Amino acid sequence: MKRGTDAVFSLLLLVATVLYLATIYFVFFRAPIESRMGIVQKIFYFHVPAAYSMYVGAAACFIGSVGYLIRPNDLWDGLGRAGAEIAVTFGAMVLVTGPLWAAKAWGFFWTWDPRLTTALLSVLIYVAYLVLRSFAGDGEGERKFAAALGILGAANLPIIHFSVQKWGGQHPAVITGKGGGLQHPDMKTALMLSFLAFTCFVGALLWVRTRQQMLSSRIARAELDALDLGLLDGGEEAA
Amino acid sequence: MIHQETQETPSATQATPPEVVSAQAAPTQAKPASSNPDDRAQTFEAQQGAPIPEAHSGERLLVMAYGFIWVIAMVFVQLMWLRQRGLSQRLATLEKALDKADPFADEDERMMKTVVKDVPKREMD
Repeated sequence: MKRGTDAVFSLLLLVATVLYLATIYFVFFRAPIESRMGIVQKIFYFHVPAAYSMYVGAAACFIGSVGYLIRPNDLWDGLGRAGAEIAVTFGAMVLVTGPLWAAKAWGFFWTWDPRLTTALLSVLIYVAYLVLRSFAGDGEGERKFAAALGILGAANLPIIHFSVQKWGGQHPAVITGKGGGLQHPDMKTALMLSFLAFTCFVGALLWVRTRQQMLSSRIARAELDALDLGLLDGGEEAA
Repeated sequence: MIHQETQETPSATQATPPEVVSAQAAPTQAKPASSNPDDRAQTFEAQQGAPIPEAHSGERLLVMAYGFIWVIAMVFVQLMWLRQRGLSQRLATLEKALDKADPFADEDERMMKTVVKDVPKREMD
């Protein structure tokens, strides 16, 4: 069973690697340069899948948080924390690559556009989640409080998605907007490959971090047992 | 880093002919805010002919974006590695504490394994 799981994980990582190589090839050697924006438009092929990955991480955090509130165990808690970490990591990618694209497309790096603002807010919620988990201990109460924060963070996701459609702003709607889209088939292939590569990579990261977090919880329990039995003193546990 | 207006370098507008400036300005001008999402729908098309001269270096922005993505991913992997190291240290501390509590635990376990392995042999004899 364990060997089979390892094989599936290795395969997932291998597929992600191959897909990333294919994505890089398509983005830089096959997809044509965009007519008005020039080469900077190629940021799009990583920016959008990174945003999608942030959603995946946030969704995992939501599922883990709800699961933990219904049935508290290490799996749900680990999934929630791993999801929040993924959301922050890929959210940071979105918040860095977006302004670099905007510098060329809009002429400035940042504006308080609804989508940009809600995306920043969402990343800050997950940063708060991780700060809480890192500094407020690992007790039942802290875990439940963090789970509530994980659910609150997910509530912001539809707002990010629909902000571009419902409110004014400058963020373009390339994929979802009527009349928008990628006109060249190689542009579409590059974006599709990038989505697949990010999906496999995020899946692998979620898997590793959830398992690591579950292991950490098991060790913490063993440490508490050892403390109760007088095998460890407080200093040793802290080390 | 935060600007509300389109920036143009004076040298770029003074040194280049008007038709090139207008070509440069077209993509960099921010569209007025609109509440209708269809007004902001954007199409990406393949470039035809010679490339348009750029006010901002697209290559530099692209390389920076691409570099930052990998730096962020590597930081995540590095943090994962550090956490793994922390777990290994905690496990080693626990094992040491267990050894201290029962120094013959390993020996007992080894003896048990030997006995279990030898049982079928003895039964056959």
